[in-house]
Amino acid sequence: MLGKLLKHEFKATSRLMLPLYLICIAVTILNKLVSVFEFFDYPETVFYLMNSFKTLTVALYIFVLLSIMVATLIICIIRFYKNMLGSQGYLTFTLPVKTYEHILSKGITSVIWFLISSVVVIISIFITIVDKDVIAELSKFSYHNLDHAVYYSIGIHLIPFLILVLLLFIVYFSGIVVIMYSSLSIGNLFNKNKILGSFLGYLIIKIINSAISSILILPLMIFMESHIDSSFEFTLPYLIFMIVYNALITVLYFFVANYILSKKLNLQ
Amino acid sequence: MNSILECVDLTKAYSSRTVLKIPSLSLPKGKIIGLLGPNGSGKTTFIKMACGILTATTGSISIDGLPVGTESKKIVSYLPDNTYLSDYMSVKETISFFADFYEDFDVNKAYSMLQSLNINPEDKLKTLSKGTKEKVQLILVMSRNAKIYFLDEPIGGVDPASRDYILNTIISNYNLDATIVISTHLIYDIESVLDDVIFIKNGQIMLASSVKDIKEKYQKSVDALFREVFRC
Repeated sequence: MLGKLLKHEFKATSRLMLPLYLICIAVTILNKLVSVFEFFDYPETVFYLMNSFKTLTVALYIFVLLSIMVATLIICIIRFYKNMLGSQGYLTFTLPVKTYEHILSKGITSVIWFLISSVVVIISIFITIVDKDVIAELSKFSYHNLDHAVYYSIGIHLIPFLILVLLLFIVYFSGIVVIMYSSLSIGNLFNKNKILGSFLGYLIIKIINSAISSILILPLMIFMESHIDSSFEFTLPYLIFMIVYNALITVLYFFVANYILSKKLNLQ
Repeated sequence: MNSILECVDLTKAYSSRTVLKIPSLSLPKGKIIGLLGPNGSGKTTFIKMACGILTATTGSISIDGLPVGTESKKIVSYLPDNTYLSDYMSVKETISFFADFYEDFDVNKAYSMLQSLNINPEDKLKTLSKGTKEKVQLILVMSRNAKIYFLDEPIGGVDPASRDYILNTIISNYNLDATIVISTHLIYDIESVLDDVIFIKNGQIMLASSVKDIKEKYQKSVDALFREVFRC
């Protein structure tokens, strides 16, 4: 069942996500093409006109880039709300599927889109900044040099470091996603003002999270006090702390959302 | 077990307001049952609880011996009062969606019903009229070989000719061992297909009887009795 749910989730969300990525790439390329043209030899009016146009495309590009992650979040939230708590919920919750499977399929799909969005943003920035100098610098890079640099600054090799960073991205996005789902589920408990209730739920969650991280950071502080001599060694423990914290948050709010939607469901 | 649905001490309350109170109810297998009552009487609340989209405040409902949950949803087919399909999907896609999740879904039956009603499977739902969308939903629900069907106002927004088709579809296209619960206030139109009726008012059952018994005991049609019982 989970496989089928995932299939339908991707079908439903890719209708919005793929055009978003297309727009991003299109604006990136437009900005790039416009930026490589210089108009020094042209008449003055053309020069000023084209420079204004360049500024416009740069502004548009920055706007689109910043919007990608926000748009991903909004699409994820709206999908959950419409399909679980709106009129489509009448179909969703009468499917012979457990509630946690619904949350899991939507959560996994959302996190994957967040990861893809991050990659699209990185590719876009790379396209924008790439030129002869950048390529020259890159061709000087070797795996060995990079690995060396990473090891001597934070104490672990390149591959483990990249794996930890990827893991952090995954649990961080998962945490955001389940917090959103929980907020919406809490909001649905209210008979009137469901949206206000969702915001209230979100605030309460934020307060609880601050409390949790304050408590959890104590053992980390103690550990660092006795083990860390230089600021360089700070990175790895902090990285691990962030991964553990976000993983805990993910599990906690998954259970919260699941509890509310399976035991306290009241679709209007 | 001769009953498909049993409920015990069932109540639903919001804040301090109790909207449904059914001490006990038993729905038999193989009957077409009319759930009749004015707006706000608790018909939809009851149906939503049986289908698992509303949780009871107290009490329980069991469907064919199963508590409301994943297993009971496999044998319950629900047609709500509103559209619950995604607008961007085509009719064809909704059929494959249902076929994906429901083992008892009959794809051929669905396509033949679409054909009888001249609905093009390739059409996207958002291009269809409200009445046509309702027909598509009805076809999806009736193409399942469920043990109990809940139809909430199935003929409400539909023209009289289509109403006849829908009623015919309902009585000719279901498994004779299955139960169909039709909730409506258009009693006159469906009276002829009903076996049993349940009158519900202010969240409580006022009457549960077969249509035959009503005609014998009260010497009037169900529609007439309804108007009497629910006089404003």
